[in-house]
This record gives sequence, C-alpha cells and structure tokens, in this order.
Amino acid sequence: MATEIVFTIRDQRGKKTTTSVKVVEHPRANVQNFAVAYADAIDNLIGGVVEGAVALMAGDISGLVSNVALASSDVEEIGSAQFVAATGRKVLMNIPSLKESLVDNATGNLDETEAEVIAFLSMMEDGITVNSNLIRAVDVAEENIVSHRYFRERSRSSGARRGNV
Amino acid sequence: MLATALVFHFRDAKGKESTTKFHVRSTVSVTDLVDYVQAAAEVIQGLTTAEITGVTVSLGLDLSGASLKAVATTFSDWFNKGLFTLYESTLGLFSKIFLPTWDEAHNHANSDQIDLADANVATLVTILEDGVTLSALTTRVVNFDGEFIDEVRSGREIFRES
Repeated sequence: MATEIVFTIRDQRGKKTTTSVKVVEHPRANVQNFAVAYADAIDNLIGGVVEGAVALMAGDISGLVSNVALASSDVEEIGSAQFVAATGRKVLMNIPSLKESLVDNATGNLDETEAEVIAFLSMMEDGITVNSNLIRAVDVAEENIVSHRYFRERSRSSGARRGNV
Repeated sequence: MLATALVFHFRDAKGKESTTKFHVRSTVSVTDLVDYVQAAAEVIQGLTTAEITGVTVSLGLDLSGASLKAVATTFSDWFNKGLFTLYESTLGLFSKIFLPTWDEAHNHANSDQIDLADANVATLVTILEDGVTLSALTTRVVNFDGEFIDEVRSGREIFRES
C-alpha cells in the first residue's frame, strides 16, 4: 500500500491548506529524503510557505478476529478518558461505540476490574512491548502518559466523518 | 519532530463512522509500529462494539534539510492552485495533484497553462516521473491504485477551494 505525504502550505494571509503526493511504501529514510526533495521543488513553484509534512501509512489490522459491528453498536456512545502525561499535560481520548457491559451502572465510570479495561489502561500508561522494545503512549510533546483522571461513559453526536485508510 | 499519531477508524452497525487517536514517540521504528498497531487494535477492540475499519499511522517528517522560504509572497493565495495531470501507462489511468498558492510566473506568458519547460517546473516533473533515489533505492510517485506515474501530461492554473 502507498504512503501519502501531506505538506501543509500557508499563504500570505495565514490561511493553511495542504497538498499531498503518494509514493511507494519505502523505508522511513527514503520517504524522508523524497519529502525534502519534493518540498524544495514545490517551494520554488509556489508563493506560500511549506510549513511541514507528515507521512500517512495504513496500519495492518488483518489479524483482528470477529471484527464485525454488533447490531447495538453506536459510535455516539463513547468511553471518554482523560489521561495525564508526566509533565501534567492532559490527554483526552474517546472510544466510540463503547461496550455497555464494561460500565459500572452506579457511577457511569468504566469498571476498572474488567479485563478489557485493565488491558487498555495498561497499554496507555505502561506501554506494550513489541520485538523486545517497550512502546509507550505519549502526549504531543512526547512525554509518557502515566495515569488517568477518569474513564467514563458519555454520549455525543459524532456525525459522519471521512477518513478511510 | 512530531510524535507519531495513530488514528483508529470505527464504523457502527448503522454505517456511522468515528475515530480515536493517540500518540507514540517519533523514534519508534516502522517495523515496531506495524506490530504495535496490531496489538493496540486488539486491546481497543476489547472495549468497542463497532468494527475497527482501519488504522492510519501519521509520521512527522523533518524538512530541515530543505531550503524553504520563511515568508509567503505578497499575493500568495491558497485558492490559487497549480493543477498537474499525471498518467500511468500500465492501466492507462490519470490522476491529479494540486499545488496551492501557485506562482503564475511559471505559466506560459498570458496563459493559465503551466510551462512544463520552465526550469523549476521541470525539476518537479522529474521527481514525479522518475522519483528520488537514496541508498540505491528509488522512491517513486504512485497513483491511488499503487501504479507508478510515468508522465506528467499537463499543468494549468486554477482557482478553487479543493
């Protein structure tokens, strides 16, 4: 599958937009090198400023089993978590179509004795080891997420979103 | 460097879609990311009744090696775009790319047609048609079907939102 490189462009009024190009899926260093060359090339053709670039890749989830939406599923029923990074910065994260069975009906909070909830909180606060490397969830400043303040059920209108992989 | 973002995509039984996102360090290798994404998807699947339709991994790229202008030119406008039509010969399909804030100095005189022989345009065309090589590996541009772009057929200036 292709890697899409998305460049952010800013015009003289400060309005931002993007342009993108797809490349064959290559090692990060090659994609990085391509992005630099492409940025140089388009910078000479446009009046705007190339502010930055990201590479978008599709993750492989082919190993998921029983990955089918239940009849009762609803993305507007969410589990809302507020995590805290090591520096104290708050990180919000929602889980759409939350399993009702994981909710403590008395409080509306996720039951933190449930195995699935334990696994999720552990992934976010302690990390997962893959290929002998511990990978931690972080905030945008790359500080480790270390705890959570709450994880509870909420309802909200999500609307339809584009964004297929 | 931007932290690497992982965006998980969900779809419920009514077809409504939503996403959730969190970050891992930018230093995590692509190899480890592949395995991490699978493991994280399994953990998140345990919490949801929706289908997880996919995961998008967003890697920050370092453009410090490029020589980029720091200030936009006076008349630069995001609405003004350079539209390039690309062609791949395997399936005979066309695709397009848009460059916002297009500088019409690279058009033919008194025309909205882009001058493909312009030196700066030619540099872009070479990248689009031949790719960029690092360590004996050439990274080439592909279309939505994953086919290599063989030719930049044309370019013209347009004015539109998207």
